[in-house]
Amino acid sequence: MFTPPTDPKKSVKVKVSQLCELCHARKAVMKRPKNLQRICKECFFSVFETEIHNTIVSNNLFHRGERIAVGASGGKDSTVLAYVLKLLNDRHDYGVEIVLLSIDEGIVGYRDDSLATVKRNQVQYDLPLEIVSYKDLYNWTMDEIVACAGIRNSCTYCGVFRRQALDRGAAKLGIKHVVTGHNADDMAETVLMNILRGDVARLEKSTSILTQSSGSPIKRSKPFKYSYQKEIVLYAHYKKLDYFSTECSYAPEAFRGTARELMKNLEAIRPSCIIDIIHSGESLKLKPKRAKKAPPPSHMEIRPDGSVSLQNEFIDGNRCERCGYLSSNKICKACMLLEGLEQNRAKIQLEKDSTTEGAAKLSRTLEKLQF
Amino acid sequence: MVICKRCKLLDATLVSRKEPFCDECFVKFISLKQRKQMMSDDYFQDIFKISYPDKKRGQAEADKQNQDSNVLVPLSLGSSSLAVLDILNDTLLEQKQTHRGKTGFHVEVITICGQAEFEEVRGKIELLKSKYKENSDKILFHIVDRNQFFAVPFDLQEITLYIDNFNTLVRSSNNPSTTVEKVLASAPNKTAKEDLLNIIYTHLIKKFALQRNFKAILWGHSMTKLADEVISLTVKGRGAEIAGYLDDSSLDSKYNTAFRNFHPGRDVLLSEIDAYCHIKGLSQFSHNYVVQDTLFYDKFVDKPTKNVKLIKNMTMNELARQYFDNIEGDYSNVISTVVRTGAKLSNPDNELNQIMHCSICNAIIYKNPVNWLDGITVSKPFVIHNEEELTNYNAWEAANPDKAEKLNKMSDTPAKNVGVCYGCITTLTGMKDRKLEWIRRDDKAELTAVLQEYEIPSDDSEQ
Repeated sequence: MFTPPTDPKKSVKVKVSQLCELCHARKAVMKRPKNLQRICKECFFSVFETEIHNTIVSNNLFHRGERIAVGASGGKDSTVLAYVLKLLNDRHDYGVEIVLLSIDEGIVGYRDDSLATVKRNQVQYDLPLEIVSYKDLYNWTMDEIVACAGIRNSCTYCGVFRRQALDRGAAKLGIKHVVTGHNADDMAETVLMNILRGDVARLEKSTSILTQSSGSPIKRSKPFKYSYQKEIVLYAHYKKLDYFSTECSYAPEAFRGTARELMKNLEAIRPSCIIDIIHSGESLKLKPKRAKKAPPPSHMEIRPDGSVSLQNEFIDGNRCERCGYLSSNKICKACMLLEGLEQNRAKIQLEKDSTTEGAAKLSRTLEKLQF
Repeated sequence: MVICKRCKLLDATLVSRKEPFCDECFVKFISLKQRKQMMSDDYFQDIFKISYPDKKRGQAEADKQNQDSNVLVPLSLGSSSLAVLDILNDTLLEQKQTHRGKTGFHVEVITICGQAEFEEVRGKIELLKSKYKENSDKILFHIVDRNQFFAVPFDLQEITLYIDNFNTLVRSSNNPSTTVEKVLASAPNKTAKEDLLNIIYTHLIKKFALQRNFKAILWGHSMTKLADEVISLTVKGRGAEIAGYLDDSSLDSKYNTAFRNFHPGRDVLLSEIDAYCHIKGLSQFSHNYVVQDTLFYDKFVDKPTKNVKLIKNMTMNELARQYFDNIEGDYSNVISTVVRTGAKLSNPDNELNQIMHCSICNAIIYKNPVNWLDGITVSKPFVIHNEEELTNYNAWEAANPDKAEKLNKMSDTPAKNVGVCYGCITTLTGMKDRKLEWIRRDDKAELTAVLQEYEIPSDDSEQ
């Protein structure tokens, strides 16, 4: 097990008013955003870990003998997730086998560095690691995609591809359960965003902790559903975990950005709002749909983006005609995006061309320049 | 100069929904939006249309229906409620003209205010009264002191939240009376104040409507206001209330199913309402609100009044409003999307085996918030494992003898556990000592306790 370096011990008399509100025995070092309690480091570790344990147990996330893949990006959330899951698995004897699963999107200067972090984590936590790359799966790296399709839609491509890549990676390892580090802030942001853009189809499901489809053997879960991002960062900080903290160098999704800013402002006036939004999200329920007039039996709807609706209503577990991946349409979103990309791929490529290497590579090079 | 796209005669003065309008066409545009809502279903048609004897009913019945069609307009003296009232006044005038003095409905207006603002509010109401004097037989004004909320024929109760287990306990209050001002003073921030004030005002208005048998309450809220309410309800953990808040098609179940809530301004943006108020000269009646000039070609609001607020001093609603203001350019349809999405929601399934109302805000509690919070928040300390920590603990115990005992004591106090909804627990968490003096919501005597009104001198004296 990874043991972080210890702090130098200093014995200082602590004032009574500075003591932790839970144990009243150690000096408080932080204020929990959830309920504004001032608590000490030890109590924080204890409540943070126990809360995740409670979430896992009360939602029956794991069963004995299950193999689970932790979607590991090297960032704070997945690093803490891998660490905590291993810790809890040992402490409470869940009897699960944990594997790290990383996706290499092919972003030079960003992903290669964060993957290095995952490789260190692999050693520190003594967990097996599997890396799946976009290049192998789709024959495209994100750098190439951005060079071809522009930076504006980069998150659309990356998001769709990553979802599939995680499933394919897990399938390759024979694992049926992918665990991701989505935290309470991500959840709340999604709830707000689904309301702001009227995404009725996702509204009810936006806070579910476990997603599963009858057609896919692979389920996903989010044990950090109720964990504040701030607490995850603090945990990583106090435990001195080794993580990679740079943001992706490609543009963040514009609309999500506005929702994120709104949430940051809201959090400033009421720190509990993240959990409050999740509470609201869990109680959003749609009115029953009014029955539509039946279209003629042989109808086929062509959507604005060129996709074709299936004649039947949405079938859970329908497959893509090309790649066999789960899809609500004849052809899955990834195959559709790939087709668009293929059509625009440059016919001739320059030898030793490095222009496809994106902004991240450039900024890395600039950082290292010395005069 | 741009020509109005509707009449193609007059110069346009403003742009709304990408279309240039002249004053006249714009007023018509807005008022038709409201009138369309007023005719949106049978219930409202029965209220607003003039009924005449037909196959189903005789003269007497038709007259009675016209007589009984009374609606309540809560007038905050902001632009939206002023516009709703103004359009109702025009509708009444038109009905009188075309139906030989008959009207299909009559209107009563209620304004809730604090003592400090009473004189100013009364001044504005008197002005409005004389503006609408042609309809003095059809429009009645009332002013109610917000402290009437606590004017109930029984002792108040004291609600206390225990943060360790999120239980709320209630006991009879030692103070026989309290005031809205005192309650607000113990609230920690503007959001909590606004939340409480909102509960108080809404309750007074609905109680008034119940006692006087109104058919509907016509809330002034514009589409913009509804959108930021949907967002702020979500953010305050009151997501379950959105469906009820936007429900115009059923009787209010929390008030004996006596009336419907109705939002005739739900199709119109606040900026459009403001433009309407400006054109119709209603700005002079507004109180605590400055009518904005967003849509007009010629600006008239002095920029310094648009002062920039620090985020810390804003409420949830204001932040949501600011978000919509800023986003307007790129994603301008967000406001209507949010309202439409909200309208697609229904009440969540009740996970409790009985119908329980919140003791503070009266909202239905669908799932036990205490269990939910308890499930995700651990409050057990980590063990004390060395001498130094034990010394600290002993020092704390010596300094806080009462606090250490408090947990044991809690079970001895003759208090009973009450249901408080998640949103109100959040508000209580920030209150001073986590305490609130409040009325008993479940008491029949509370709803029938008559609301005292301020007197408004009658018009006759002026004429």
